[in-house]
Amino acid sequence: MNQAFCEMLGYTPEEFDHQRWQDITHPDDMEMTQHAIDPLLAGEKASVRFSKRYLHKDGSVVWADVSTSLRRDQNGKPLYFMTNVSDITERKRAEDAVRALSYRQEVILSAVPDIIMEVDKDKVYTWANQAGLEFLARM
Amino acid sequence: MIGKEAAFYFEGEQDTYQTVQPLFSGNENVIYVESWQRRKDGQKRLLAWWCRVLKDENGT
Repeated sequence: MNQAFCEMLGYTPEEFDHQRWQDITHPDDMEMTQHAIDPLLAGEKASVRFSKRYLHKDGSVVWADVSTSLRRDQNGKPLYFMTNVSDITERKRAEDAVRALSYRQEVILSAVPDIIMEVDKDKVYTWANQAGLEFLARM
Repeated sequence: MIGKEAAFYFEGEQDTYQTVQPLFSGNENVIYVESWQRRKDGQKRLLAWWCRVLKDENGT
């Protein structure tokens, strides 16, 4: 692994010498990661791409976009994984924040007893709060 | 209901579309309109709407 990957997870290159991918993978993503790379080991796919969580040395979660392929020798025996990892932690946090805000607004709007509806430029209904949906359901 | 045009629920002839047209042409941001609507069970309801334009961050 290169310096960028070491810095991403807070380890020195020397410390990484003793780590397996299982050691730095979030426990909840262990099975998913194995499932993702199984097609490479089985020779069914040349490369795979997926998102997963790593564990930083300090214990924090690091979200990553992972692209990996399995290099083999001339006899087809697996040699090593060639993997490209991008830190997407901030993007994930932003997505979670947007999702949480959206849910919060939905809950608030659902609590409003007045009907709130949205129409597009063609005057077609595109959204309604709970009161609006209940009213329309009776129409 | 979502996906249907607003006029689908109108009760009788009404000028609601003409009333709210300034919202769509960009001449007004808020318009109050009252509109008779018909429920599925046949009952008529007079609804009072405060119609407001939603714009993106560029004002479009």
